[in-house]
Amino acid sequence: MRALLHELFAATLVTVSLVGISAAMQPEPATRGMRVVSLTGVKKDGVFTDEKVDGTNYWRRSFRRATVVLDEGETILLRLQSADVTHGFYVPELGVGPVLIEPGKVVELELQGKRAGLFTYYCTAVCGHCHYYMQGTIRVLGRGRKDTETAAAVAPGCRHGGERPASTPRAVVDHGQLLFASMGCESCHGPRGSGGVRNYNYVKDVVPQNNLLAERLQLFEPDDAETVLALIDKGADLAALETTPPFKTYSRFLAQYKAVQDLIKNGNRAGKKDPAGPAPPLSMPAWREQLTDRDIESLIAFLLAQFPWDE
Amino acid sequence: MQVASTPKRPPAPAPAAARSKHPSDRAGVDLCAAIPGLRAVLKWRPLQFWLMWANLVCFAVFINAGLFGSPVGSHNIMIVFVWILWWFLLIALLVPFLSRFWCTMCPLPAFGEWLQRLRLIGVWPGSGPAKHRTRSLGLSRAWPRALQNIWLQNGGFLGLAVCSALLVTRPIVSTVVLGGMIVLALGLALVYRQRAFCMYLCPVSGFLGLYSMTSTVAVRVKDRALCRGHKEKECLLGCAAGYGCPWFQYVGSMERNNYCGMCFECFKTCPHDNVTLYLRPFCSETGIKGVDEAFKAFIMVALALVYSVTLLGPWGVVKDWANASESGHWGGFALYALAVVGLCLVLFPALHLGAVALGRRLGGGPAVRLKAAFVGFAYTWVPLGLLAWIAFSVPLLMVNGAYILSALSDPMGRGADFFGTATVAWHPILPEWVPLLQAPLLLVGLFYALSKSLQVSRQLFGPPARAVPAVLPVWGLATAVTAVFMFFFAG
Amino acid sequence: MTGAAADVEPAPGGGRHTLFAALGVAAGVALGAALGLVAFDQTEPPRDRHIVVRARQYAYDPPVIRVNRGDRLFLKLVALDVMHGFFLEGHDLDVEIAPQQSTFKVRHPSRPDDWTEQEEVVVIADTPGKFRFRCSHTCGSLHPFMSGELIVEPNRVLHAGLGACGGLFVGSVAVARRRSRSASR
Repeated sequence: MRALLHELFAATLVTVSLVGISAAMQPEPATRGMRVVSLTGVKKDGVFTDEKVDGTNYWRRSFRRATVVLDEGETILLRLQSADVTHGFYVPELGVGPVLIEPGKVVELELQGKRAGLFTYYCTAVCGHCHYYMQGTIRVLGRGRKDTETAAAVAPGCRHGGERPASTPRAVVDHGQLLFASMGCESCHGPRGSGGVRNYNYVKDVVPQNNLLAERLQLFEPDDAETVLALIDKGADLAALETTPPFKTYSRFLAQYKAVQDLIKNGNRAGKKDPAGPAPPLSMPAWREQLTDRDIESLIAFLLAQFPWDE
Repeated sequence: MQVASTPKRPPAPAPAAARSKHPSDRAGVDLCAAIPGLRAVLKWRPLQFWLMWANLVCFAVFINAGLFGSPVGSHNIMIVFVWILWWFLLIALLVPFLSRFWCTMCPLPAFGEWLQRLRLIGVWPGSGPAKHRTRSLGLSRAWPRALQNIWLQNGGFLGLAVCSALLVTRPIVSTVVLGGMIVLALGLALVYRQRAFCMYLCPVSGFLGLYSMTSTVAVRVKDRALCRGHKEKECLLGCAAGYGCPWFQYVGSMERNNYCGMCFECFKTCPHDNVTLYLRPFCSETGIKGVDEAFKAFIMVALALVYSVTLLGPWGVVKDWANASESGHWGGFALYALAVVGLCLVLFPALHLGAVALGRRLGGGPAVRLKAAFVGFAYTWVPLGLLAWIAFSVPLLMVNGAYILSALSDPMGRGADFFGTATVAWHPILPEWVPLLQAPLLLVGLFYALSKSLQVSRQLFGPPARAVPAVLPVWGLATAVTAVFMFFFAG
Repeated sequence: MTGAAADVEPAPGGGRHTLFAALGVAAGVALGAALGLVAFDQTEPPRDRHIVVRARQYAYDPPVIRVNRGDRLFLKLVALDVMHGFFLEGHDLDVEIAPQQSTFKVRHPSRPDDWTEQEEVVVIADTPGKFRFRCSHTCGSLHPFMSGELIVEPNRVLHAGLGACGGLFVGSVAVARRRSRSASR
């Protein structure tokens, strides 16, 4: 009889402890009386997602990009995590961040819907191929308004793995076009460099468009641009041609050409419009480790070809 | 009725190993006599239950964290506690000092064994004429004879080792593997007798058995003559006080630690308290039996080399290959897997065979069978491999020990802080001293390898005039392998 | 603990023999280690080295930096994919490297929260030996195994270790052969 009791006790202990542990490990830790929105950074998809990311799904599937919705005047608690590498989080217009989000740690931030409208959150730590697409919308609803609005001013989803074109194709412009998309340039400079992407508190308000590069390079004649394109395509040493310029304004062009090359290589921090305001979320990164000289020439060639000569 | 079958083993390599006055048994301090109360503790039936339960609770935490916690390995208790803490404790402390004490408390076979016995603590007595014996649930089949060896364990361990870069970095992979082992152990327990899973399948069990030969403790009988004269053999068949050996061992003539799972049932069943725990010098057993065990020794040394390159080494390409599921280098992975398996199963055994064959010639010993020498000299790699593994595991703890503190407070990597240590930042402890610790550990391993292989050689070849030349090539190979480890660790 | 050449069964006068064997083997180890230290102690005169270290998931390029005692290293640290770290053992140096920046953040772990932004960091290789640099910024699955090596020659631990290995072998052989000769007499 005593033996049976011992067995029952042991069996109960095992059951209760195993079930208890599993139950106790499910809920998220307590929250400070606010609505909690959990966002997890996922490198491979270039998103902050509001889905639960754990061992059972991380390696198997993609995650949707989160849109955070709150009411005007409401304050929510953001629980920010990373499932893989260090990400950043920044909402310049609402005065949140920038903070680094290290994997395995949780960053808790209060987010207040100061005014109604659409705001963009950004990842501010380069986190891989999809980093430049890692943005999303924070929608603050005005009083009495329903959540009906759709798109916000954020980059499209990251559709590619940042893979480089296998080898330099014959047409240097095509190579540049591939890079422009796969390196994420288009996420800030717009499709084919058409520009128009907002950059909060940046001196020019929007990220500079690239399709007017011909102008910046002092190429005012379509023929001159064609000449340059052909030279780049051939792989000619443009600097060496300074003594025998192929067109009149060649030396002015060359100076600008070098300046643009340097800008792509070394990057540039976006200047503030309001010096007391937050830092603009988007800045030109340094590409010298990611792109070869030939890559950069190809990008310039591609953007040269985008100039709207007809207009 | 329970009849324990003794696993098929090839005959001992040398008659000396069978001699009862072999130094490996009964030479040592009887711990049960020396430590008051130890025998009572080991005879206490609930002992194993409580140990298993404690580990099962930890295990439940690990499994939950692996499934629902952060996928970031270095902040998930599954990875941090299993592959940093447990691994270090196992290889550096438990195995060399306490033999297979891990098997006493291992939670993996718990459900299977409890179900077989329909008891968690007590004994399920038989009825009728077998009422002095124990009963068990399930088909109680005998394990197939052809598989009564550790080849499956060798294969399983090698298979896991090839995928180790995934296993030790992804909580979910560890969860699936460990959870799968629980399920497998449960299933096998219902079909086969007793600890068939542990004995023949568990990948960890293989090297625990081999390396526990070096251990400073051993379960043995005090007086063999008493056992020979005692016909009831409760230690094999079970009785009201306990089960017959779940590991199919007959403690009355047991000379090696390899397959003693330290469940202490024989302490409970022996009516004469003839079984006891001995404290003895490191590397007291030297008799490897069977090609399967010899290959286990090769595999372990070779894998220590592989991990020193893959995990501790600085070469990114190798890491990309080993980490194919993320890097996508599946061609590289195939190459890597082939290299690892080739090193373990072909190259290393071939080098050993070459050294042994040369030694056999030098020792002038056509009287000694090549196979016996091949198997016997494989013991060289036991102390060397164990110490190399310890040297490999030392930096794991010194470099990544801080993760243990943070994972303790935040097991899921989800922002909890139970003990206030969740925010402890990663900081290695005296990492620049690691090579200075590793080099002496390797030398200790080489010292024992040389010393013990000479002992083996004496048993195989007899007088020193033959045994010394016979061992020289193996000594040379052991020294060369140690030098390679030295290059990886210190150079 | 018995000597490497100690016997299975105690030979006549076993205690003395064992002591002799142990001394012989120990002498071998000590001589070998000393020989290793002395033989490889020469290095070239110190010089300055400028090195770019590129970090990526999960390795550094170059994986091994081999220098001589007294060299000054001017390191530029670059991350190619995600944020990495560069924790150099034994040199009180920890760096946080973000991709696509021209600077990186440096601190000295002895003063944990004192970060400075730098374009280059100088390491004086005044202590010989092997020092690993490890990623200190969780960077993905294999992060705990991301490391590289700074070898400052003369690498005395390696030299002494290899010498000791050889010495252990030679000493054991000498003792064992002497023993087998005396046994056959």
